[in-house]
Amino acid sequence: MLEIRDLHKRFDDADVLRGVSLTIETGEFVTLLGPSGCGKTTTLRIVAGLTAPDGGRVLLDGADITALPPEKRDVNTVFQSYALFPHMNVGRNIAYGLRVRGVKKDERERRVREMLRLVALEGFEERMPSQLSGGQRQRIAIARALVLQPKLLLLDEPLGALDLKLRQQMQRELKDIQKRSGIAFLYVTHDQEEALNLSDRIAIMRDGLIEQIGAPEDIYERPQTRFAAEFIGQSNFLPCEVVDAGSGVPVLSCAGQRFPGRAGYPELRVGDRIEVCLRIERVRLSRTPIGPCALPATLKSRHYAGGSIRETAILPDGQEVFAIQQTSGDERLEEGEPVYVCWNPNEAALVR
Amino acid sequence: MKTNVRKKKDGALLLVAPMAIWTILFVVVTLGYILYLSFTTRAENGMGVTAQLTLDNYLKLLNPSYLKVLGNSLKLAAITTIICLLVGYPFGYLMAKASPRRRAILMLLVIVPFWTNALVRVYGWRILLMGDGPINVFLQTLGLIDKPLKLLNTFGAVVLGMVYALLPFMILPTYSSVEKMDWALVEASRDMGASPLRAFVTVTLPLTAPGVLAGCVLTFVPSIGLFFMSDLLGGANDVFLGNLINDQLLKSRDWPFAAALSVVMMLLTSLFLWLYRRAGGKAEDIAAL
Amino acid sequence: MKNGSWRSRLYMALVLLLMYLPIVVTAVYSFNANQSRFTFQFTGFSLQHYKALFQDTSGLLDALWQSLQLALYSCLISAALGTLGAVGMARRKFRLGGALEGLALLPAMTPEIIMAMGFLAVFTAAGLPFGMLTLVLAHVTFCVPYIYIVVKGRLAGMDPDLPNAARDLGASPARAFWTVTLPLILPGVLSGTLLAFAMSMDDFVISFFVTGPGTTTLPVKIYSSVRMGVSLQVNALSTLMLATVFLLTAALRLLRRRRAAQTT
Repeated sequence: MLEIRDLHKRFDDADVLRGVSLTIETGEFVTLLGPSGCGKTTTLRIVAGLTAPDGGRVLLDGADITALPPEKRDVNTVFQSYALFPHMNVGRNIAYGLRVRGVKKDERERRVREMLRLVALEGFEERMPSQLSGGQRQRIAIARALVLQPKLLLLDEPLGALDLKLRQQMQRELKDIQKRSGIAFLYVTHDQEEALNLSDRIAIMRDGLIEQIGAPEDIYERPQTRFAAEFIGQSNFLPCEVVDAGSGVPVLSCAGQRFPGRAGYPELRVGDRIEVCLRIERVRLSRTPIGPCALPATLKSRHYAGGSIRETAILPDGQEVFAIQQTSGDERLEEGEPVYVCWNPNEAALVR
Repeated sequence: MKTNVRKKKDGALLLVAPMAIWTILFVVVTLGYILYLSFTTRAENGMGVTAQLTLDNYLKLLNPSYLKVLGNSLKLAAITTIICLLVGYPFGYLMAKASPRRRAILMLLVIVPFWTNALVRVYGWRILLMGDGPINVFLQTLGLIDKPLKLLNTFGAVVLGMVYALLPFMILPTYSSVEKMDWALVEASRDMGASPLRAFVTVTLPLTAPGVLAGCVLTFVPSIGLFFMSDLLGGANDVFLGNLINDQLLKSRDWPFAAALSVVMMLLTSLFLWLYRRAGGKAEDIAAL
Repeated sequence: MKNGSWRSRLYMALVLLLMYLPIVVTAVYSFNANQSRFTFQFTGFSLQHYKALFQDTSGLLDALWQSLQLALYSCLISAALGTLGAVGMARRKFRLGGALEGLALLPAMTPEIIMAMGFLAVFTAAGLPFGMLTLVLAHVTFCVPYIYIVVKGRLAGMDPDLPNAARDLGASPARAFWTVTLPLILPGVLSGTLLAFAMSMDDFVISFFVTGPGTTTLPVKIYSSVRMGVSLQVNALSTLMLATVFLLTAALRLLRRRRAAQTT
C-alpha cells in the first residue's frame, strides 16, 4: 500500500538517510525504531510531505507521491507535540480537515462526534486544547488525523510526552483504535517496549539505514546484527570463531571451548568471527553442564529480586555473563562457586 | 533523482522577497551611498558633488575644532549614559521588586511619556528652564535668588534633556533583567553569610548585567545623534556631532564632509555595538525595545 | 533598598515627578492667557490657544493630519513587509538569511541622523520629489525592524509544526497561513504595528530631512514653532494628545485585564 524506495536525505553536511526502503500493507502497524538521529523522524516527514528527499521515491497505492505537497497526500500525521491549534476548540480542531475539504456542517458535526466516541472523549467539543490533559490532547490529535480516513496514519513519538503509567494505558488504546479503524499506522519511537507491544512489524533504523525489519518475534528471536540485538532486549555477546560450517549446524569456538551454534545460517564460513547473542533470561547458570552448550565459569554475584534472581558469572577470559532466572530452582548457588553457563543453541542468535 | 520540489514551493522566498528588496533598496543603498559620498569632492559651485575620489573629507576631520566637536559628543554621550544608569538602574530594580499591581501602574507611568512626542517633552523643559519660566519664578518667590539663573542654553540643560529623553531606555531593560532574576540566588548568598551589599555586588549586579549593558547601548547610541536637543536646550557653544552633520547638510551644503562625519559616527556606533556583543549581549535585545 | 521602604518610594516618586514635570508644565501653560512668543508670565486662565488651535491659525492641525496619514501608511506597509519577512525567514533557513536579518535591523541601531542624511542624499540622487512619498519610504524603512523583531519573537514561541499540521490536514499554504499562522501571530503583528505607528508619529530627525514643500509632519512643525520661542498652541495640542494617549493606554489595560479575568 505504501512503498518507500531508496530514500536519501542530507541536512547540511550530515547524511540523514542513506537509502531507506520499506513497504507497508493495508491495516498494518509498522514501527520505525531507533536511537535519536537515526533518521526515523525524517523518513516519517518525507512520507508526510513535510520534508523533500534528495533521492528516492514514495508510492501510495502504486501512485508516485514523492513530489506532492502534504495537503495532496492521503496520509495524516500525529505530531510529536500534537500540534493542536491552540486558538480553536476541540470540535474545530477535529473538523479542520473536513472544513478544508468543504464537508457540510451537519456531516462535519456527525463525524466529529463519531471520532470523539472512538477516542472516548464524547462531549469535549467545546474544550480548548489548553484545558486538556496530555493524554486527552494526544487522543484529540489522533482523532483529528483519523477523521479524514487516511490510507495511512503517521505517528511521531506520540507517547513521548506522557508519563510512564499513562504511556502504558495509551499503548493499549492506540492498538485498539488502530484495530477498530483498520487504518495502517507508521509509528516512530525509540522505546523498544512500545515497539514490541504495538507493532505488526518493526524496522530497526541505524545511521540512516534500516538495520533489520520483521515481526517483533523475529526481531527478538533472530536479530541479525549486534545493534538490533542490543536495541531490543538485554543480551550477553560471546565473540566466537566458526570452526566448522559444513553440516547445517555450525560449530563455534570461544575461549578454547567448542560448542554447536544455531542452525539456519548457511552463509557462515569457517574462520568467520561472529558473536553469540545470549538473552539474559535464556541463560542458565548451573553446577552441572546442561545440554551441548555449557561454558565453565565462576559465579560472581547473585541478587534475589523478588520474582527473579539476577546472577553474574565470569568466564575464564574475564568476560562477564549476566543471567536472570524466574525462580530460585533447586540449586542454591553460592558466590565464588564454579558454575556452567548453559543455553539452548536454538535460542541464541548469531550476530555480526 | 533530485526532488527538491517542496523546497521551491514552500513560498518562503516569496515571503522574504519584499523585505529583502526593501532592505537592499533603502538600507544597503542608503548606507552605501553615504560611504561613497564621503570619498567624493564637493562640486565647484557648492551644490552637489563630483565623482572625484579623495580622502580630504576625512583629513578635514583632524582640524582641532572638529575634533573638539567629536570629543564633546563622546563626553555628552558618556555623561548621559552614566546619569541614566545611576538614576535608571535603582528605578528599574525597585520597580521589579514592587508588588504586581503597583508594578503595572509604574510600567504605565514610565511608558506613557515615552509615547508622547520627544520634542514636546523637551519643549516642556524649555518652558521650565526659561529666564521667566516656573523654576526661576519659584526660586525668586522663595527669595533664594535675586535675578533669574541662566538655566536654558547651557551644557547642563542639554544633558538634562538627553537624560530625560533616554531614561526609559535604561529603566526598561534593567527592569526586565531584574524581574527575570532568580531571587533564590540572592537568598543563597545571604544564607552563606553575605551582607546585603555584598550579595548585591556579587550576585544581583552580575546577573542583571545584560540588562544594564543593553540599557547603556540604548542610551549611548542615540545620544550621539540627537541634534535637536542642543538646538532647543543648548547654547551657541554646545555643538555636537549631530548638529555638525545637520549644519553641513542644510547650511554649508558640504555633503561629502557630512557623509564623512556620518561614517565616523557609524564607526563609533558599531564599535560600541561590537563591544556590547563581545560582552555577550544580543542584538535583538536592543532592537526589541 | 528594602522593598516598600519609604526611602525607595520617595526615590521613585521623585523620578516620576521629574518625568512628568515638563509634561504637566506644558499642559498648565496651555491655559495661559499670555500671548507673547518670548515671555512666560502666567497671566490668567484662558482657552484661547485651544480656540486658535482648532481654527488652525498656525497649521498645527494640518501637520497633525499629515502625520497621522504618514504613520498609517508607514505602519501598514512595514507591518506587511516585516510580518511576511519574519514568517518566510522562520519557514526555511536561507543561506544569506543572517546577513539579511542584520541589514534589515540596521536602521533600528543606526543613529537617526545618519539614516536621515542617507535618505536625503539618495532621494536627491534618484530625483524623487520630496514630500509624502519620500516620508513614507523613509518611515517604512525604520519601522520594519520593530515589526520584524516582534513577529519573529512571536513565531519563535509558536510550535513550528502547527502550520505543518494544517497542511497535513489538507490546507493549502495560503489557507494554513490565514487560518493558523496569522491568528497565532496576530497579537505580535498588532503590537508591532502599534509601535511602528508611534515611532512614525514621533519621528523628527528623519522627517526633518526628507520632508518637502507642502508636507509638514507634526514633529517638524512643532520644532519650527518652538525653536525660537514659545507657541502655546503647541502646548494645547500636546495636552490634547497626551490626554488621548493616556486614556487609550488606560482603556487598553482595562480591557486586557477584563479579558484576562474572563479566560481564567
